Amino acid sequence: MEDVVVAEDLSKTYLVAEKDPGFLGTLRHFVRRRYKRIEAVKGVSFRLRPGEIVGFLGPNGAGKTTTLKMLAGLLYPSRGRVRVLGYAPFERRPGFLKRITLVMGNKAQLLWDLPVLDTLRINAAVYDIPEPEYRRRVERFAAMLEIEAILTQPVRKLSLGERMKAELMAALLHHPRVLFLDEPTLGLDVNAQAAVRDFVRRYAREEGATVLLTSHYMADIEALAERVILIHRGRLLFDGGLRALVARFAPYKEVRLDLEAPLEPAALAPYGEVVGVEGQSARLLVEKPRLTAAVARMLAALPVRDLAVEEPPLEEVIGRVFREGRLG
Amino acid sequence: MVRKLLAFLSVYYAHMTVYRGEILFWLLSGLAPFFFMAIWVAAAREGLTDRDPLSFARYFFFVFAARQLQVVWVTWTLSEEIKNGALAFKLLKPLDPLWHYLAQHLAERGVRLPMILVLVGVFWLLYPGALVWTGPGALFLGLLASLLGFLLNFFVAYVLGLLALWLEESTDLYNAWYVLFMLFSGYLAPLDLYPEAVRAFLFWTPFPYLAYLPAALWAGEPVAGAGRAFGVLAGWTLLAWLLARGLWRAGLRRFSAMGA
Amino acid sequence: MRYLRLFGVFLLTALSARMEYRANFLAALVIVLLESLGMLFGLFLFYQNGYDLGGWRWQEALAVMGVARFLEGVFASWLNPNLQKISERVQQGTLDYVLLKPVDSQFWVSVEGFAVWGLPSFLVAGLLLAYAAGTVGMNPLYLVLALALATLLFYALAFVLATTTIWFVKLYNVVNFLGAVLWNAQYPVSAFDRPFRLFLTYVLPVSFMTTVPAEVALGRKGPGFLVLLALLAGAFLLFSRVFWRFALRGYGSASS
Repeated sequence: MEDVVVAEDLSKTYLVAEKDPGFLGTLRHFVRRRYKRIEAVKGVSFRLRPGEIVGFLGPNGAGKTTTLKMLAGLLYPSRGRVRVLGYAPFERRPGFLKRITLVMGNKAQLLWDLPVLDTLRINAAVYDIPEPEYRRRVERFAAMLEIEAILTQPVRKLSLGERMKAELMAALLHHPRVLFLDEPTLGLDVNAQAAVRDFVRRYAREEGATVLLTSHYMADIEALAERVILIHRGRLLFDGGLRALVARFAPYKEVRLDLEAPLEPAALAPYGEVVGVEGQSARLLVEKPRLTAAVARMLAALPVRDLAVEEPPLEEVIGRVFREGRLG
Repeated sequence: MVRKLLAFLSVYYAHMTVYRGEILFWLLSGLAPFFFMAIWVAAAREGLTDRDPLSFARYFFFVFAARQLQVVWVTWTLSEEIKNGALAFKLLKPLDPLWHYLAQHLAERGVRLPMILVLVGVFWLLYPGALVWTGPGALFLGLLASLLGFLLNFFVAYVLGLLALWLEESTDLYNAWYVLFMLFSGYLAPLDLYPEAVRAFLFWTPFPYLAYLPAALWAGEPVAGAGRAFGVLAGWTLLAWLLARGLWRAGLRRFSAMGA
Repeated sequence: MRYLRLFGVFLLTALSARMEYRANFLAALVIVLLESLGMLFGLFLFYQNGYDLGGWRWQEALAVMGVARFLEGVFASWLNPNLQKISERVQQGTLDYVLLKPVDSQFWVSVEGFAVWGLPSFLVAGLLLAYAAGTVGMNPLYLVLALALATLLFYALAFVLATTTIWFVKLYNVVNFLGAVLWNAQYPVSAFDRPFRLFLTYVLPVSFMTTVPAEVALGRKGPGFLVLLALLAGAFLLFSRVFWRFALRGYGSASS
């Protein structure tokens, strides 16, 4: 099948005005402005196949949102080529807009003073959804998200979690085939996060939709995405499966120790990189080739009550990649 | 206190220069006196009254100037900050928020004044001879009247803004105050053209002192009972200030009760 | 047809949101009545002394005021709430959501909102125009056409000004400025001293929104001026569309 999203050499440069603080800075700014070129995205290329759910990761300011906006047609790329469902996004043709959606965790499309249903009704008119079909979809989504009871309450009275669920409902009412989700779980508690995740996964599976999502919560990525794209300072660092990412950037295993008596970190250091010591439990990262030998030596030399070997948490792996800014 | 105020002014001045475009268009939205001047000047050329066209030009120019010195927006700021809860942060500071708002208005005048000077130039070209020097006394008294008028306006706006604690929307009330001002202050026509009975009544209201009094002083027109005029103006200003203080106290209790 | 339906949905939605603000409506009613009385009094000051504002009968001058009031109603009901919101949408980044809808974005940002407190102005406009029509006579068809064209011209001009807020987010007052100029043009344009007459005709074509429509409806000017109005309105509408498209190209959409 045809790729749903194609990005080739995608780049975006902004001009930003600068001002020094204080009165003199103001005057100087008034007379003559300095501009700084900010290259938010530099030559990023990737493709998404139909039905894929892909995690889009990077620290703040890495260029994730800028890329998503170029894909959704809100920003005009400075360089490179984008195609989504065969359309050039920036032309924003109706056929394109009816098949995509963009959800931004920090921006609301719901009408603040009105019940959720009013926004949904407007969207139904906008996307030409016939009345019976509209009812069916509202019923189905509300049941999936378990928010039937709040649809008639003004949005300003809703909790953050309820509001995000309602945002998703409004954003998916027209059954888009491509979903761009920018931090959809931002600020939500664990339960609401899980609910949003389940909903996205179920929607994508049932509709065969393609999803590109950014999130700061690795749990989101682990639960939803098989493939991840890493971007750092505007450049693509990695594109591939989650397992491959861990294998490539984290040739480590995490060893968890449960000790008879507390030990100083220095006592553990010879066996691997100490990640954390808390009373009688400790965590170490050990390179895979040395793992068997290190475990054997620890069991022999330390007062070990229990020992477990695990994959390191994704957060740590990703954090390590970005700290080192390493290119694959 | 002086040091604080200077620091405020410097920061708020920087802040206001960011809004220079906004201030410019606000200034341009206040050109009504010139349009009414244009009608009265045309009427005077036809011999409608015994005033000559230039005296109308002069009068309305100074009405405009007085108004520009008195523009306030604190009603909007207050009702906005009450609604979104930003006022709470200001209450945590060991300084009455009133000083913040006052400093903002003063700083804004600093950005507005150069723009007014440009307008003075344009006016000078269009109506040469309309602007005459009427002496330092007139200048001082006109400025004094404008300053008192600004404070009156500011406190009234402050009171109306605080009402947002009790009412859904209080900016409408300021609009009502503004409409009354336009009609009764001599903003649209010199008050000496109003019927005698209307005028006698108006001089007990605060409105004539916001536009007519400073404009007439600056233009060097005879102002009957200037001493009484300043007395009434000062009285209204004092009243508005007292009302603002009282409502502020009541408002603090209300604000903490609302838990906003 | 679809856009007409959407317009209806917007209107109903805005109305249901605003029903809570009955007090605002009442306040607006009082303010508009007061203001209109004041403007009538201002007009009366001229006519009591036998001055005719450059050749206008009292009733005819009231017709100009009626047209201006009508546009004031359009301004307060639609233009002001919607166009001021454009800069808010840019600042908060919610313009993104409008752009992603398969609906013309200019249409959306122009008519989504509606404020009930514009309605009293329509009431006053109706009274003034009815009085003028009853006393000196007006061609109702010409009046309706002229009002519609004046509305379009006014809208297009206001929209162009509002579009600049895409670049200058802080220009919250730019739409108010046009409202203020319109407010000043409640009197026939011939009443103004020459530089202002020229300004109102050629710099900001406000006299085409108030004086000319009244003149056509009153029969002081021939129906040919309707064609002129239509051309002018059409040209400004076209320009507003081109300008909006152009502005969107430069719209960065608030980052992150």
